[in-house]
Amino acid sequence: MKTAIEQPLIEVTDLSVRYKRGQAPVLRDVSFSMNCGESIALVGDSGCGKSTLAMSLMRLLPADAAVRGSIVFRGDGEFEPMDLMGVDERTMQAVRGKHIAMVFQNSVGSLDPVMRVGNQIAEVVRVTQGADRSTAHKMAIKLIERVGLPSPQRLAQAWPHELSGGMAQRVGLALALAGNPSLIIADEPTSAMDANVQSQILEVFRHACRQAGVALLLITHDICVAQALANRVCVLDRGSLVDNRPIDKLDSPSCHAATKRLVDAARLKSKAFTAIAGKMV
Amino acid sequence: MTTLNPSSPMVWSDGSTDRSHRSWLVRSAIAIAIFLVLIAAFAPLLAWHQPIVCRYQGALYFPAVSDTANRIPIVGGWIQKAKPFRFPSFDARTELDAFAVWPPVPFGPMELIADANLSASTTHWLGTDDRGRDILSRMIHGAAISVQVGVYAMLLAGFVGVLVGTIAGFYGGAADWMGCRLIEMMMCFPAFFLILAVMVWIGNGVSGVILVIGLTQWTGIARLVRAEFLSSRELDFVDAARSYGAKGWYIALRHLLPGAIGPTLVAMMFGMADAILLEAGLSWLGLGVGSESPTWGGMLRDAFDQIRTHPGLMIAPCAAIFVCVLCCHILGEQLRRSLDPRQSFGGNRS
Repeated sequence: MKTAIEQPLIEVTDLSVRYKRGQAPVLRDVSFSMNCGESIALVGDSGCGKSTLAMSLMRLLPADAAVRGSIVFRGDGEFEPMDLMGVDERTMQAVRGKHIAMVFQNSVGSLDPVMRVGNQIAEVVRVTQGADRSTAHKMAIKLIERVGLPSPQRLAQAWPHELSGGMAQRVGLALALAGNPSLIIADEPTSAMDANVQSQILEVFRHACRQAGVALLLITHDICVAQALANRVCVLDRGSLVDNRPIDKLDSPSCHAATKRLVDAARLKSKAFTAIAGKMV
Repeated sequence: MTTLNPSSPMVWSDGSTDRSHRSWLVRSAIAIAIFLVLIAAFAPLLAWHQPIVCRYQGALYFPAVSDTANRIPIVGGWIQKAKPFRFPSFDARTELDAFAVWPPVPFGPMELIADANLSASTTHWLGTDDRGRDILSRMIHGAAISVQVGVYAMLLAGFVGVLVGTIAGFYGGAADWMGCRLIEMMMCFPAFFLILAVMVWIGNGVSGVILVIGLTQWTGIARLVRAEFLSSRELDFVDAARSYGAKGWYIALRHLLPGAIGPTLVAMMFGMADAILLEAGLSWLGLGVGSESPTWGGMLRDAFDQIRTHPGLMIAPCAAIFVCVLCCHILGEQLRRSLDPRQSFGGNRS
C-alpha cells in the first residue's frame, strides 16, 4: 500500500455513457470510489454495462461512445490527481499499463498469436518501465513465476496457442502486473473456465494483488466469485449503480432487489451443488 | 489447441517445418531457385570475356572476380576494376599469353566471338546465335537479369504495398479511403500498357524496368495487407496491447504487421513470376533492359526471327522462362500452404 488510506485511489463521479447508434444510455450517473489496495467486485447481469464501465475507466471505448462525468485518478502519489476524462491520449497511454492495467475475459485471444509469451510480457515491461531488453526478460521470468506457472524459463518460449485457458489467464495477470500498476481491472477473468480452474485462478489473483498491494476492480456476473476475492460489492442494474456495500452485508434487508436476485441465484446454485454432492456420497 | 505439458520438451507439431514431408516437386523447385540465384550472383565467374585469375605484365589480376563484386548492390559501385581490363578496347584473349584461368564458358554475353548459328559443340555448348554470340553465356547472364528484375521489383512492390496497406488498414477513415482509391486507380490501368508507355519515355535499362514493374505491381499486396489489418485490428489482443499503454504505430508494427507478413510473402512470390514474365515480354518488344543486353525475352525475339531456319534457338530461352516462372509458382504455393494456420496441423502432407 503506497499512500494514506483516506485518499481514494480512483473516484468516479456521475459517469454516463451512451452509444450514438443505441437509444438508451449504457451507463447512467455511476459514482463510486476505490481506496488503495482495496478489491471491489462490480456485479450485475449480462448487458448491464459492466464492461463498458471498465473500458471507460481505461478510455478504450469505441469512437462512437459519448461519455460524461469525471474519473479522478490519484495513483500512487507520483503525480497530481487527474481527471482521466480530461487528459489527452498521450497522457492516457502513459497511464494505461503503468497505473491502471486490465485483464480480459478472452485470455487466449488477448495474447498476440505470433509472439512468444515471454516476449509479450517483456514488451510490457519495456514499454511501461523503460527497462532494457535483458532486464525486461528477467522480469518477465519473475512475473511468470509470480503467477504460479511451472518452469517459467520454458514457458517464456511458448506460443499463446500452446497454453490452456487457465495458463493464458495467468499470463494475462502477469501482463497486467508487468507495469507495476496501482489498479487492475479484471473483466470477467474466470467466466470461461471450469469451476476447478476458476478457483485456482481466483487464488492466484488474490495472492498476487495482496502481495503487490494492487487495488482490484473485479467485474463478474457471479456473486460467488465476488465473495472469493472482493471486500466490497457494487451492483449494477441496467446501467445504474444500485448497491454498494461490504461483502459480508449482502444478507441485510436494505439490499436492492437486484442484489437480492443475484444472491438468490448464487444460493440456488450452491443448494443444487449440495444436493448433487449429497447424492454422490 | 494443445496443452503445454511441463514434462515434455516443446515441439512444433505442424508439418511446415518438417522437411521430410515436402514433395519432390517442391524440393526440386527449391533446388532450381537456389541454382538460379547462384548463377545470377556469380554470372561473371561462369561466363565472361575476361579470365578469373591471370598474370599480366608481371602482376596478378582478377578481372572476372571484380566484375562479380561490382554487381553487389550499393557497395559494388565503389569497387574499381584494375586498369587495362577496365577499357573496352582491351582484348584479354589476344593480350594475355602467360598464366590465366578462364571461366567455364570463356565468352562474354555480348561478344561476337564465332560464326553465326553454329550448332552445339564442345566450344559452344549451346551453339551461337544469329550474330555469333555464345548462347550459353547469354543464358547465364539472362538469368542474372531475370532474377534481378524478379527480386528487386518485388522488394520494391512489397515495400510500397505494405506501406500503403498498413496506412489504409490501420488508420482507416480518410487514410483508408485515399489508399483504396489509389489502389483502384492503379488497378484500372492495364499494367502492361502503362509499363510500355513509361518504358518508351524513360528508355532502356535494368533499373528502369525494376522501377516500373515494382511501382505498378504493388496493388495486390497493398489490398492483402489492408484486409489483414482490418480483420486483425478488431481482435482482442489489439485492445489488450492498448490497455498496456502501447501506442498506435507500435501496435501496427509490432502486433499487426507480423500477421500480415505471411500473405505478403506469398503474394511477392507469385508477383515475382509475373515480374519475370513482364520483363521477358518487354524485352521481346525491345523495350526492356536493352536490345544488346542478354535477356531471355530478347533472345526469344532474336530466335523468333529465324524460326524457319533455326527453330532450335527457341528452346533454351523458352525452357528457362517456363521453368523459372513455374518454380516461383510452386514455391509460392508451398509458402501459402505452410503459412496457412488452418492447415498447419498435419494438413500439408503433400
